[in-house]
Amino acid sequence: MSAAGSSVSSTAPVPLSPAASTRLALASRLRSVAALIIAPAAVPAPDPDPAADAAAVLDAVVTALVADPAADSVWLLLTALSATFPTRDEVQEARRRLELDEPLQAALDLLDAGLERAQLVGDPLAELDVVIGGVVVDVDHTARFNLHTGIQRVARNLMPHWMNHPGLVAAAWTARGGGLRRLTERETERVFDWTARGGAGEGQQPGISRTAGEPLPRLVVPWRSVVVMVEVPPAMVSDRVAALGDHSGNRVVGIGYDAIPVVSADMVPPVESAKFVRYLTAVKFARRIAGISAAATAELGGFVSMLPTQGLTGPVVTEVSLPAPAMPDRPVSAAPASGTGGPLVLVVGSHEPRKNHLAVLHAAEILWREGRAFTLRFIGGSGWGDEFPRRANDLAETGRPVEILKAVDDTVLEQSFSDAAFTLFPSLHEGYGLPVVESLAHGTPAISSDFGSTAEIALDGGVLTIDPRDDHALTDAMRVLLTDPAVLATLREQITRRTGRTWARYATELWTTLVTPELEDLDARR
Amino acid sequence: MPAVDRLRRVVTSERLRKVSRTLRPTRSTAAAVAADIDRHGAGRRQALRDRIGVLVRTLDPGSDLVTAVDGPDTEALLTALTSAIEPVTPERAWLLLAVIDGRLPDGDLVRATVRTAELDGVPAALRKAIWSGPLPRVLDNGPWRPIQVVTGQVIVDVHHTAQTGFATGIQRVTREVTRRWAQLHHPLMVGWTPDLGSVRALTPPEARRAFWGGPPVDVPNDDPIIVPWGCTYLLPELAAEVDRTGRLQALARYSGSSLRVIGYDLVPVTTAETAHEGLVPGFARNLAALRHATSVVPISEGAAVEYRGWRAMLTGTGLTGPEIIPVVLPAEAPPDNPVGTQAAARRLLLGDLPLVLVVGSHEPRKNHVAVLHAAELLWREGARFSLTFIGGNSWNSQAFLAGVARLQLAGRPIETIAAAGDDLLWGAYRTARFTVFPSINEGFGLPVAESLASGTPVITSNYGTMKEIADAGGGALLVDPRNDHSLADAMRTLLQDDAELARLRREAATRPKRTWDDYAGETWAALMGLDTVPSAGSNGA
Repeated sequence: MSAAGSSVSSTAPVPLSPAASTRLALASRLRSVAALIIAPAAVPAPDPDPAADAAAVLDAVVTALVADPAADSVWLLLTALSATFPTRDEVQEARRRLELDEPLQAALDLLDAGLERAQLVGDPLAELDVVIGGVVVDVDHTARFNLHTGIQRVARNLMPHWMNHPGLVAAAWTARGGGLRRLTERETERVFDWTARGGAGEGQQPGISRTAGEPLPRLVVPWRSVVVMVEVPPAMVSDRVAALGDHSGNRVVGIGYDAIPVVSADMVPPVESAKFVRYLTAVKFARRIAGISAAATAELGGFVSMLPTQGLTGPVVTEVSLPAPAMPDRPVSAAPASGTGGPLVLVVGSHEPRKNHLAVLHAAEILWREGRAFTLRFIGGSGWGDEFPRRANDLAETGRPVEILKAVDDTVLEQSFSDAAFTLFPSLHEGYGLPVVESLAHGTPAISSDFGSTAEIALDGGVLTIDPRDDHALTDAMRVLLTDPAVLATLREQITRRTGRTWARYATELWTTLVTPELEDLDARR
Repeated sequence: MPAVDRLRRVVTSERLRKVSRTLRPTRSTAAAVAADIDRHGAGRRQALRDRIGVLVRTLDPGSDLVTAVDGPDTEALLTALTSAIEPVTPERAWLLLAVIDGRLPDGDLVRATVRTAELDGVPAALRKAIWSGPLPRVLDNGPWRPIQVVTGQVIVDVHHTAQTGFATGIQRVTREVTRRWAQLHHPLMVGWTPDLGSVRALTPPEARRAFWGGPPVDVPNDDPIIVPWGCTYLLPELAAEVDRTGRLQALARYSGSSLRVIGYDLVPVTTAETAHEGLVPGFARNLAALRHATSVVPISEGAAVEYRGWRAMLTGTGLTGPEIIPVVLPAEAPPDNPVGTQAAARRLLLGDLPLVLVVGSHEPRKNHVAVLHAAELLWREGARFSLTFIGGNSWNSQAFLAGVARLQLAGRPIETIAAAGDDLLWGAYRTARFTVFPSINEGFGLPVAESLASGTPVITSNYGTMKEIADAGGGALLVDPRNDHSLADAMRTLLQDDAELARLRREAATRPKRTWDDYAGETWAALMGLDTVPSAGSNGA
C-alpha cells in the first residue's frame, strides 16, 4: 500500500513507513470503538507501541464477544478491523467464528479477514469518527458529481433545510465503496450551497472529486444513529447498507423514488434491473421509506408486501410527496412570446424509451402536416436507444423546427420553461415527473400522462392528461392547445390557483416522518 | 484497413444515411416497393410474395383481391394488402411484422410500424418488416420457412424443457403438467427457433422429450413458423431471456392472444442478495411481459403473495396486470421400494449413527452454512448423528464448501453427494431420521414436501411456502432460519426426543395425498379461466 501510504501527510508530522502507519491506524480504530463494545473501564491502558496497543484492545473486545457475540457489537468490531462496513454475510460468519473458536483463534481469524478486506475495499490507513445518536445522511452522488437532475435536485433542495439539525453528518462512500466518509469542502458546497452558488460554477467538470493529493478520508461510523438514504445507493454498497439496517443497531431510513427497473424493465437497459434489485436488498432491512408520490409509495409498498414470504416485515412505507409549488415564482405574461417558428412546445427529459419521445415526434409531425406552426424543443441528455435521435434528425432534415438541446445550463432551461406555450411529458412510467412541476412553477401548462405520479400532479390543475400509449390522444391534446387559446388560458388560470408546498415544508415533513420517530425510539432504548 | 471495416464505415457514413433519407419518400409507393421486391433473388421474392399472401388471406379471407395472391403482379398484391390492412392498428402491425419478417416483433417495432403506416402509408410500413438494415437484402438468402397463422388454438410453450434432458424444479413441474395436458386437451406444443425469434411446432420426438426428458433429438430448420393470432398462449416454464420475453410481451399486447403462465417465485427480485446477478435482467423482462398477461398461476400461496405484491407495484404504469390464481404443487413419493431403500441405507448410514439429511443445491439462499454451524454446535455437545447433503454446487457455494472441508478435517461425519438418482434420493428420504430445509425464501420448497410424502419429519422455516406446506397436515418442526440456535434447538429435539419424532412421523404419514393429476387438472382450469372449483388441495389443505 505504498501509494496510499504516501498520501498520509496532513496528520502525521513524521513520515512513517506504510506498515507502521497501518498499525497506528488499526490501533486508533480499535480504540475508537472499544469503549462502545465493552465497559470503558475494561479497555486496556494505552501502549506506546501501536501493535501491542491494537493487540491488547482486540483481545479484550474479542474475549467479551466470545461470551456474547451480539450482532451490533460484532458489526462495530468488524468495521474497526477492516475500515469498512461489513456485509450481512460477514457479520454472520464472524458471529459463528466467535461462537465456535477459542478467543485467541477468533481474534486472529477476525484480524486476518479484516485486514484483507481493508486492502480490498477499504483504506488500511483510515481512522474513524463514531457518530453516536446522530443522523448520517448518504448524499454520495450529489456530493461527488456536478450532475443536477432528478435525485440530485431533490437532495440539493432538501439538504440546506436539514443543515441546522444538531448531529447531522452528510457523508459519501469511500472510493471503493467500503464505508461512509465525511465530505470534502467542495463536496459540501455541492450539497448545501448549489443554488446559492448558482450551480456547478465555472470550470468545474462533472467527475469524481477526490484526487490523489487530498487527505485520507475519515470514516463516519454511525452508532445508535439514524442513517438516511436520500439517494438510491449504488449497487456495490447495498449489502453493506443492508447490514447497517439488519445488524448494526442503527436505523436505516430513506426516500423511495420508484421501482422502474423491476416494474418496467423493458424500458431500462438490462444492467439497471440487476443493479436495482441489489438496492431492494438494502430496502428490506430499512425501517422507514418515504415515497416521493402516491405511485412511488405504491411501488415500494408493493415490494414490501412481498416480504412475508421470506419471513421479513420490511420498512414502513409512507407517502411524503415532493413539493409542487403553488404559484409561479415569477410574474407571468398573459401569453408567451411567439417567434417566427410559431409557439414553443417544450419537452424536458433524458432521451430514453420510457419518456415516450418517439410518440411526441409522431404527434408533432402529424400536426406539422396539418399546417400547424410551432417549434418543438427537447432539453435533456442522451439516455439510451438510438431511434429518437435518428428520427428527430430525419424530421429536422425535412425542415421541421425540431431543436435538441443537451447539457444546457439552468438559465436556458428556465427561460425555455417561461417561453413555452406548453410543455409535453407523456412518460410511460415516472416516480414523480419533476418537469411537469417545473413547468407549472413557470406558469406554463403541461400535457402529461393520465396515470401514476403525473396524474397526481395534474389533480390540482394546469395539466391536460392523456393516455401516453395512444398517439392520437397526444396529437389531439397538442392540437387543442395549439389552436384553442381559451383552453390554454383556462389551464394558465388554473395554475395560479394551485396550492402547493415549499421545499422547507417537504424537508420538515420528511424529517418528521423518517428521522424523528427513529431518534425517539433510539432515545427510549438508551 | 480490413475490407469489412471499410464497408461498415461507408454504410454508416452520414452521407449515405442522408441519401437514403431523401430517397425514402419516393420509394414508399406500392409500385416502388413492388419493384424492389421483384428485384430480389427468386427465393426471397417468392417467399415475400407468399408471406404477403398469407397476410392478406388472414386479414380478409373473403376479399376478391385474394385472387391477386396467386397472380404474377406484386404491385396488385401490395394493393390488396393495403386495402386489407388499413387502418394499421398496433394489432395489425404486429401481424404484418410477424408474417412478413417471420419473427415475432417486439413492441418498439410494432409502434414504429404503426407510426410509419400513418405518416407514409402501408408500403412504407412494409419496409420495416422486409428490411431491418441496408445489408440483409444482399446477405440474407434464407432459409424461407413457410408461415402458418394459427387462430383460436391453445398453444403451450415448452421451449427450454424440450431441449433439456435433466430436470430442475421448474422443468419437472412443466413435464408433469404438460404431458397430462397433452393427453387430455391436445394443445399445440411449441418451442422457439434457435435465434429465439420465432415460434414453431414441436415434432413428436421433441414433444416426447419435453414430456419425459431424455437424449437430444433432431430439430428441423425448415418447418413452418407459427404466428399465434387470437390464441390462448400457455407458458408453464420460466421464460427469462431478454429477447424472448420482449417478443412475448408484444404477443400478449398485440396479437389478440392471451398469455397465461405458471409463476414459480420472484426470488431474483425479492432475494437478490442470494441470486446470481446474471439472472436478473431476463427475469425482470419476464415480469415486464407478465404485466400484459391474462393470468399467473403461482405454485403456492407464498409465491402468490410475491406476485400480488408485484401486481400492486404496477400502479405507476397505469396497467392492472394479470389475475393471480395460486394452485399449490403436489408432492408424490414413489411407492416404497424396500430393496432400493436398503441399498440407500447401506450407502448412506455410518454404523448406528442416525442420519440427518439436507436436500438442495448449495446456493446461499438454501442456508446450508447455518446447518453446518448448528450441526457443529450439536456435535460439540456430544450429539451423535451423521449429516448428508444431497445437491449440486451452485452459484456462490464457496462458503459452504469451506465449512464442509473444515468440519471434515475435524473428523465430523459429513458427506456431500452432488447428484443422486431417484432410488438414492427417495431411499435417503426414507432412511433419514429427519431432514433439514431452513431456506431463506422458496417458491415452494420441494424437499419439504418430498420428505413429508416419504413419511420423514422435516425441520424447516417458520414462514412463507415452507410453513404453508407444514401447516397442510403437519410432520414438520418450524424454526427461524436466520437464528442458528433456533435451528440447533430443533435438531437437538429431533435427535433426542423419540416421542416427538414419532408424533411427527405419524402426522407425516397421515397427510392428505395430493397428486400430479390433481395439480395438472387444477392448473389447466385456473390457466384457462374455467369456473371449476379447485379441489381442497389447492389450498394445501
